[in-house]
Amino acid sequence: MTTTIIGREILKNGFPPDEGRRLAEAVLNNDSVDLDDVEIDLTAMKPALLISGFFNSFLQRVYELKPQLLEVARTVSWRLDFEFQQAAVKRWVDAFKAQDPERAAL
Amino acid sequence: MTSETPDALLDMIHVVHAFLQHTPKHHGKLKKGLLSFTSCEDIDAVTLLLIMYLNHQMARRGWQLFLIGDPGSRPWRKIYRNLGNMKRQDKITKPEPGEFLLREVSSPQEMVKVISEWADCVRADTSASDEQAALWEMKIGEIVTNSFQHGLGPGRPGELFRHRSIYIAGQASCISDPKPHMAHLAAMDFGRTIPATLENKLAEGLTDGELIQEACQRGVTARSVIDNQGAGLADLVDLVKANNGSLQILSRNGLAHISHRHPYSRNLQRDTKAPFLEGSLTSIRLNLT
Repeated sequence: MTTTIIGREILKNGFPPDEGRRLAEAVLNNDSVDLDDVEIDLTAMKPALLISGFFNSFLQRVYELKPQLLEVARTVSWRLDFEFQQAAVKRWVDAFKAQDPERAAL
Repeated sequence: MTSETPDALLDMIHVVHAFLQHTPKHHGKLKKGLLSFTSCEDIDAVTLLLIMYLNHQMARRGWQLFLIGDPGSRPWRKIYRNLGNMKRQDKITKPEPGEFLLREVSSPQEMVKVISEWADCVRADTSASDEQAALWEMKIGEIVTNSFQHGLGPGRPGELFRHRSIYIAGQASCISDPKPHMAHLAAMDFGRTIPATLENKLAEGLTDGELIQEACQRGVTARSVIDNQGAGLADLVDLVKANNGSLQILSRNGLAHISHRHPYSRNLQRDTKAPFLEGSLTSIRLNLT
């Protein structure tokens, strides 16, 4: 059965790259979540938070913690308020290129 | 003193430049410099940010900036409200409808909240739909995040500002205004400039204005700046063109103005050791038709 993670129960309106990392850690640390079958609900979140830096950091953190799950993480289903957000997230996720952690930290 | 056209912005830049040329650095008791707004018909968010810049530059040179104007005039009341909000940050200053008062974003953690407040102002005071305002909020969030990620280095003694801050001001048309609705947001940071970021990564010999225009091309900053995977400025260019608006960027010695008509760039001075603007000022105007 698909697990739904409610973003607003985990995230704050902090710096988008920080919040993306926080979301990845929360998802990966939750033993009951199978990335193959998860939906992340980001409705009612500020559009200024849900930018490329948020999603890139989410994927980058997944790669840093469990690199074998990166491709699965790209297929996560996102619930968002607007159609343009869905299109943008698809574009960012498809284009994401993971960086080695040392390089990403520069 | 508003910034809608490149010529109008250049006029303002020349005023600031002339003022700084007449206030040479000195030590000892603060000298006073007066900037008069008595014959000024209006000001906008860019004017306010340039006042902030002038004030801080003069303070570094041992000067204190005083503003004078007609207390009953529209520009003076705007200055009073905005600078009052900056100084107190305590909700005492009440904005007029559509006004997004000047504020300092002193940490990246405040960024989302501040941009969302601007978007709320646009939703409340213009005919923009929720979706339209959300799209603008997202695109502007991209740019401000880039400023915090790449533009602002750690504060060093002697820097213009010793903290990592961005200053933001804006305006949305009042809903009762019969004129076409528009939204304006301007932001200024004091970090590494766009030309400084790109000058060693692109073709040699480009002026600062040309470097800024290059930065607005899709893929340029993504190729040139480590870990930048967002489209940032190129997306913003698409947004202003789609909304019959304009994007103005003043960074180091370059000025670029991009609209649905023609891109325009200009170099302000060539001495990069004493740049015109130690940072970047970005102004975005979006029209609702």
